[in-house]
Amino acid sequence: MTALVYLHNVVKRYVRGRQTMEVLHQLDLEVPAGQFLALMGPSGSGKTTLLNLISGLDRPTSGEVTVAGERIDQLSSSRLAKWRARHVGFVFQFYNLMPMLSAERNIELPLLLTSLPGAQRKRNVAAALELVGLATHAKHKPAELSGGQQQRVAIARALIADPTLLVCDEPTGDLDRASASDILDLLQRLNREQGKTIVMVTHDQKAADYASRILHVDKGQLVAASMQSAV
Amino acid sequence: MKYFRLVWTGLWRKKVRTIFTLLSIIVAFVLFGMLQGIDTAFKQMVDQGRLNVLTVMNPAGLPLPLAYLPQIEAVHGVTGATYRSLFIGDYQSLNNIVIVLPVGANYLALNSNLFSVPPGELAAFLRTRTGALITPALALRLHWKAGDHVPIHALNAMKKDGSPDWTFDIVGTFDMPGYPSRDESLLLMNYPYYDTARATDAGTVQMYQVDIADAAQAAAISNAIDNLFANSPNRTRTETEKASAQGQLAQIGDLDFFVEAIVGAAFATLLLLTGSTLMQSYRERIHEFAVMKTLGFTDAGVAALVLSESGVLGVGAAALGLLAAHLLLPAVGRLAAGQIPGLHLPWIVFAIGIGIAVLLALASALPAAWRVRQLSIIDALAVR
Ligand SMILES: Nc1ncnc2c1ncn2[C@@H]1O[C@H](COP(=O)(O)OP(=O)(O)O)[C@@H](O)[C@H]1O
Ligand SMILES: [Mg+2]
Repeated sequence: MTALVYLHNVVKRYVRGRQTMEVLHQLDLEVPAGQFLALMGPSGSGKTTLLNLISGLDRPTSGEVTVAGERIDQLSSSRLAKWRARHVGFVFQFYNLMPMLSAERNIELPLLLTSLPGAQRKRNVAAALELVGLATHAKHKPAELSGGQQQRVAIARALIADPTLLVCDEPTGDLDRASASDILDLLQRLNREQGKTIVMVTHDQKAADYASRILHVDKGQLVAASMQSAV
Repeated sequence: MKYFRLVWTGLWRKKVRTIFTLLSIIVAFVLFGMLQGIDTAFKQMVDQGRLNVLTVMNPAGLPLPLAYLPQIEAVHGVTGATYRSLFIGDYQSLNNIVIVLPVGANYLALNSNLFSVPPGELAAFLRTRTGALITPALALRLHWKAGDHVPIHALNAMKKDGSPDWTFDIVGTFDMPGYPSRDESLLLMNYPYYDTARATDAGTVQMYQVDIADAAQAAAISNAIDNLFANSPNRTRTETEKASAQGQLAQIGDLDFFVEAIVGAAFATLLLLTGSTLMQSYRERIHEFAVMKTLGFTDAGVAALVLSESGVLGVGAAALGLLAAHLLLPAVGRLAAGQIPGLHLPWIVFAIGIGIAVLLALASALPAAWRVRQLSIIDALAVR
């Protein structure tokens, strides 16, 4: 098994009160290292649920989830937290930056969980800010940045600890066209130039077109779309 | 330490709220420090009260005739007796309060284990009618030295000539090693000067001090003295110096209970107040804690951040409050005009205060920390 992400027979049910809802049925998925995968599907189809399983934010009701060589469905909560810190970078629709911290302090957050000394953290943060084109905004608080800039800070934060996998949940869902294509360009560059494996949820075909592979979540299972090459 | 910035920014997220919380903690610990300081000073007075020394006073609070002295001296078991009075004055302004103790000629000799006076200065005091011995603290405070001629404006001792101004010739200093009173502004004067110059109550004393050979006989000798004057207009109450100090303490009421009740109420209020404040602060940041967990902060890690915030605030504010008490206690001592010598914040009270602050901080943050620990990332992030 060489896939970076390997899901087999994954079932996810939510129990709410007396009602049980099965969102994912016996789902299988393999994502090889270096792939830029777009997950599409209508709202409520289970895209976020699937992404949460891949990124170790949630556990399946049954089935196997192996990512970066680890059966993450079997890890304890604290082991899972450490695993996420080591392996996964997160980008959300609403950026999820810490409002009290400046851009550079937000980006530094994941590095606090490593043993890197302060000076090295500072250098890495500066490099990440440079990479996302925000070197001049290091001291800005999130509220002082545009949506597109906030999302770039979020991407820098997601990349700072050099994760094995980048997961993005509707990363352009809250952005205007121009900002959205900036972000998608950036993700594509990260995938092509640095070989980052990316799993991106989107319901926007234009966004999905930036990916190297598109899958649709349909009735709790994955349906292959065509293999695509962007642009 | 790298997490300190997170703790600090979390703390100051709502500045006004944090300042109010800070102030309420400071106030509680100022109260704690001051009351404990006063309590300690009183206990020290009782501790230092001697068992082989009796005090004789008028239970009505009035003076006693000087003529009692030979009768007291004659009581079986008494090895010596002396007397003193007390008035309060100021030098130039009310900022310079001086406590004046007119003492009998043998007062220093009888208390030689309490007072240390250079023999030459003692002799000068006894032969100079207007001579005065002062504490080194007073000498330092008002820059007085032997040979100085100083006027003291009495607040409760008029002279026959209608003036409240008493003049003294400083002849030296006396110290009271190990007694907190040594830091007070005390002045000893000769009784004859006091008694002949004063306008009222001539021929009386405020209290007698009686030395006895055997502390075990204290009760019997006290009875004997009190019986001597039982039928006179000025009855006496004789008790050991220690019992007298305890009696003075008892007049204030059950100080221990008082202190514990007030401090306990203040701390309980604090616990509820900061507890609910921290809970509110937690609710406002549910989303942020979920994000931190997403990034790989463990459940215990984020809970520790919440506890640290409370700890930094609680211990910091408590230290400020105790420091304020430390600075305020000597001022209270000055207001009490020497009646509570040795008012200060003992380091043990400081240490206990900090310990209480740590416990309060942890206890009040526990509910919030527990919620943060249990917080589900999925649920918290789903709510926007
Ligand atoms: N924590 C949860 N508890 C209960 N039901 C949930 C929870 N999260 C998602 N669901 C339900 O699961 C389905 C899929 O949700 P989601 O994965 O968020 O879809 P998508 O991201 O594709 O819009 C929805 O019907 C949603 O209501
Ligand atoms: Mg979704």
